[in-house]
Amino acid sequence: MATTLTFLVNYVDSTVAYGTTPADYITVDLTDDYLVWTAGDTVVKDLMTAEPTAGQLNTAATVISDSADTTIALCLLMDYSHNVGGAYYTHKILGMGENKAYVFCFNFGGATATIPQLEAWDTSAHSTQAKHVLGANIPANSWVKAVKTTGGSLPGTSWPGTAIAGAANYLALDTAVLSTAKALYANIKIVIPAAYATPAAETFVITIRYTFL
Amino acid sequence: MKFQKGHITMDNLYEIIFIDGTKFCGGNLQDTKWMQMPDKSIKKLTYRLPSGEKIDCEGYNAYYHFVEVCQDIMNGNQGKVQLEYAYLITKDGPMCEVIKVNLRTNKFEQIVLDESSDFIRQLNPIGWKEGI
Repeated sequence: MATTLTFLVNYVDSTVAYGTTPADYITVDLTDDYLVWTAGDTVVKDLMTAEPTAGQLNTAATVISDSADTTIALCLLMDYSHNVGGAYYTHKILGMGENKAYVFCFNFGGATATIPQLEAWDTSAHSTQAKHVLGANIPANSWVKAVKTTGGSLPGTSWPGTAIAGAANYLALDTAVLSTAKALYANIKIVIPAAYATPAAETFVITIRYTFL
Repeated sequence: MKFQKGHITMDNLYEIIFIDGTKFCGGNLQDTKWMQMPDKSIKKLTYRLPSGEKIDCEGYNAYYHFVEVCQDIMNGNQGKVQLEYAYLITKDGPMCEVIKVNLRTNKFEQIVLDESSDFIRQLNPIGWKEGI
C-alpha cells in the first residue's frame, strides 16, 4: 500500500506530541476543512459557532505596518464538521509562530523513499511562485516561514525559519528518510514585510511532497 | 543492449522474472507492491510507462522504484493525493540510470548518476532489490 499522510493540528497543548496525547490534535479533513490566517477580532476568533463569511474575514484581515514586519497573529482551523469539543467551526492552532514544537503534525503511515518536504506554490500545478506572499518570484523573500520541529526541537524565540516558495526553497521535515510510520512536525508563520506596497488577498498552496515505495 | 522500448499490452506497472524463473507482477502507481516482492535476484524487469511504451531492463546489479506525490494541505487540490513522478532506477556497478516519469505529462527523461550522488545516497536503502 502507498504510504498515507494525515495532517493534524494541535489545539490543546503545543508542548505535547501526537503520539503522547492524540486527543490534543484535530485531524484536518482535507476535503472540507481549511486554514484561516487572520489578525482576528471579536467575530473571527477561536470557537466560532458558524463558518466565517468573506466579509467577516475581510474585516479581520491583517493590516500592513508602515514601520515593522507583521506576523499574522492567528491561524484557525475551519472545521466544517464542527464536531470537536462542542459544535465549534473554528479552533485556534496553538503555538503557531511561537517557540513551540508540536503545532502542525504530518503523520506518515509508513516508509518513504526520500525525506518528506513542505513546499509553497501559487497553485496546485506546483510550478510557479509569483504571488506577493511567496516573494513575487524571489523565493527568499517569501512571507511564509517554516521550521522543522520533528522530534520536539524548539525553534527558538522569534525563529526566522526557512522562507518557503517554489522548488528550491522548501523545508525538509526530517533529517532522514522514514523507515517506518512516523509523525513529523513543523511550525509555520506568515510575516508581512513592513510598508509592503501591495495589499492583497492571495490564495496560495502549501503542499507536502513525499514518496513511497 | 539492456534498455529497450516498445509498445506492449500489460495491466501491471511492472513484471519481473527472477533468476529462478519465477515471476512477480507489480501493482499500480497507487500501490506498486514493490516492497511485497519476494527477496530473490531479479533477472529481468519490464516496466510500463503511462504512454503505453515499455522498458525492458536486464542484467543490472540492482533495481529501485518509487513514486513521488503531493498532498496539498492548504488550498489547491486539498483532499487529493496528486501523482507527480515515478522513478525507476537501475544500477550497474557505480552507475545508476534513472528513468524519471512525469505523471502529469506522461513524458519521461533518462538521467545517469553516480552512486555517490546525493540523490542516490539519500534514497531509503530498504527499496533496493538485488539483480544479478
